[in-house]
Amino acid sequence: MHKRLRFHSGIVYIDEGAVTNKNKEKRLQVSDSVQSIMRRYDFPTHIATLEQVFDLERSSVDENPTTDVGDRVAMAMPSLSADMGDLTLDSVQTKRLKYMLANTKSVTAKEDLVQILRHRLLMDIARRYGYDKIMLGDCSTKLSISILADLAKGRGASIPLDTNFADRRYGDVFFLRPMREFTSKEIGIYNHFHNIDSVVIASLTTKCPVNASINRLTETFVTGLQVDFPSTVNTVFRTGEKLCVTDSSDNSPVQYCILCRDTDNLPGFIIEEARRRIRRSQMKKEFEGFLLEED
Amino acid sequence: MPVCCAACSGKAVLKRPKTGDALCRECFFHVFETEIHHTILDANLFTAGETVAIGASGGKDSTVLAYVLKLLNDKYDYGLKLILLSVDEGITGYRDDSLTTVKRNQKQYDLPLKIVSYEELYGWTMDAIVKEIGLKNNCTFCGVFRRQALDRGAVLVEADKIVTGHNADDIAETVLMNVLRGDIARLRRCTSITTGNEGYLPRCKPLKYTYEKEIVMYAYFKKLDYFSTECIYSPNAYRGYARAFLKDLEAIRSSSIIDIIHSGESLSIKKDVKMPTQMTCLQCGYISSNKVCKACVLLEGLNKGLPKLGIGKGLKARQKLVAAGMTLTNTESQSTSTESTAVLNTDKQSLEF
Repeated sequence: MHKRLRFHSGIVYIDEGAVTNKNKEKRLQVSDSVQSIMRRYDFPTHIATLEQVFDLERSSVDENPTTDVGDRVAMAMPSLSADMGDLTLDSVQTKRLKYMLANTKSVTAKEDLVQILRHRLLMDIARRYGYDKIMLGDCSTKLSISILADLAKGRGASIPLDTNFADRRYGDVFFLRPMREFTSKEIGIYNHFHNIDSVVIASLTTKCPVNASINRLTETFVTGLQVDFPSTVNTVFRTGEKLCVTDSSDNSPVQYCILCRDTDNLPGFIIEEARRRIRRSQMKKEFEGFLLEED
Repeated sequence: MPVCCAACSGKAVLKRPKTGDALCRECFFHVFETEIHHTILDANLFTAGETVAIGASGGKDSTVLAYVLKLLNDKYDYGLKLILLSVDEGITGYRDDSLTTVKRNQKQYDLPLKIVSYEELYGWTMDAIVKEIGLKNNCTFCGVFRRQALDRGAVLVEADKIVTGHNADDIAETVLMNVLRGDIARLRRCTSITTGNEGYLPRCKPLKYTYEKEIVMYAYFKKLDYFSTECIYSPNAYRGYARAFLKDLEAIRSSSIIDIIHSGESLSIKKDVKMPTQMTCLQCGYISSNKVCKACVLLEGLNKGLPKLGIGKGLKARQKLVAAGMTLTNTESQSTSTESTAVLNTDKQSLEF
């Protein structure tokens, strides 16, 4: 018997077809199959496309409005879809997203950017519809991969936020990971016995070689090691559990990067260099087209 | 069209593995040496007048370390007295050859050399130990003993500090290994540049931020001569996975190695996580995370004909040893050094599994 849920839930699906350059027909086709699954559950559903992230006001994510709406939880299903007919799929925003990705050189950076945008959009949807918690389906296999990938990308400081049960970085809305104790295999078996369908959607690195990105390589590394050493995922996951966010020495509130919400306290010279580059790219924009040689 | 050096617009001969910059030979030497100089300055590694023992194995890392330290010591006037310190594990066909390289380096660099051997310290060579234990856990012995041996050699030459040739790749690999093994205590300290300075000889790693590829490049262009053969006793298989993963990461994004070190440096551990407490070994009186230190347990096992005593279920072995009433005396065990498992151990051969 299922216990009665003591909170109101909804399902959010974000279509990321623009990331993998899918045409309108293909995106609608994927969304139909996702929609058919979503309809089986008795929850209100929300459908969005990743490009809608550009519609949201900057302030809605960066500031922390203290609203006291009811206890509502949005369950994010990052690989599911629904009623997309009334969403425009070839808008200016679609072009903007594609332009942004095309100018992001490495596949690793593209994947990380998509993840950042996805979380921003989820946050925006949650605020717009009055949800104050967002549940993600991350399992221990996925989280142990992200622990190692975070390490490899120099994001060690944000491992606890990226993998612990509750991520309170955004203040008013929490990200929760209720599935984090299960391995992907356990979830697969559970779904099999309960006849729970899922949809497989192509990602940026689908059909790519193993070394296409850091995330992809780490995934292959962890799942490969797990075959020979079955405690790998569990050990890495438990190691991640022992980490916490660095206390700032002077008790000032933790500072987050405005783009990726990283907590890393970067040395002054890096921040200075980042500022310098932003300044230079603004300068370059002012005389766009008059530069004969890329520097 | 020839590629120009990014720094001096001369003819570039190499692409820097760390940054991808095209550089000429002289500019590469300059950035390589200056980076190490800044690492030393930023971490306040040395004080003028100190005697520094360089752990020299004859391999590429320690050869380059000895060369660069001598060069920087003269150039920037650190005022250090440098001594080469080698450990002879007693491995025929490996260490005897590499020690020949160290002896040659000694003449070339004009530095004093001290060699301490397992045989004189413990009465056992690695060859003899392998005969007892086989090829499975031999690296445990070697790693535990080497740490002690270096310390004791450094005391003999009256050194204030030991420097080792651990490079950025070694440290990044150790960070990965400690995550994969769930060793939170080592994870915390494995990225620090200086370790073991609580009343014991501090050890530091001036090549902490130096890429292995650049070390080889530097040795190649400087025509330094070093010994490059893997130890004849099998290397650690699990470490091989971490190493292969690191190399793949480096191929995708060359900054990965330095990124992993940065990650390791910025990790914080929850306050309620239980950490091993440091105590002193009942037998030899040195720092240990157990009542009897690992070196004493291993040595006791060897001498009693029970070589597996310290392998695997370490706790049980130690309890057995304590229960047996500690029959060994200090003179018998000859142990007068720090406990190896209590302090950082990034050496490729010394990380036991």
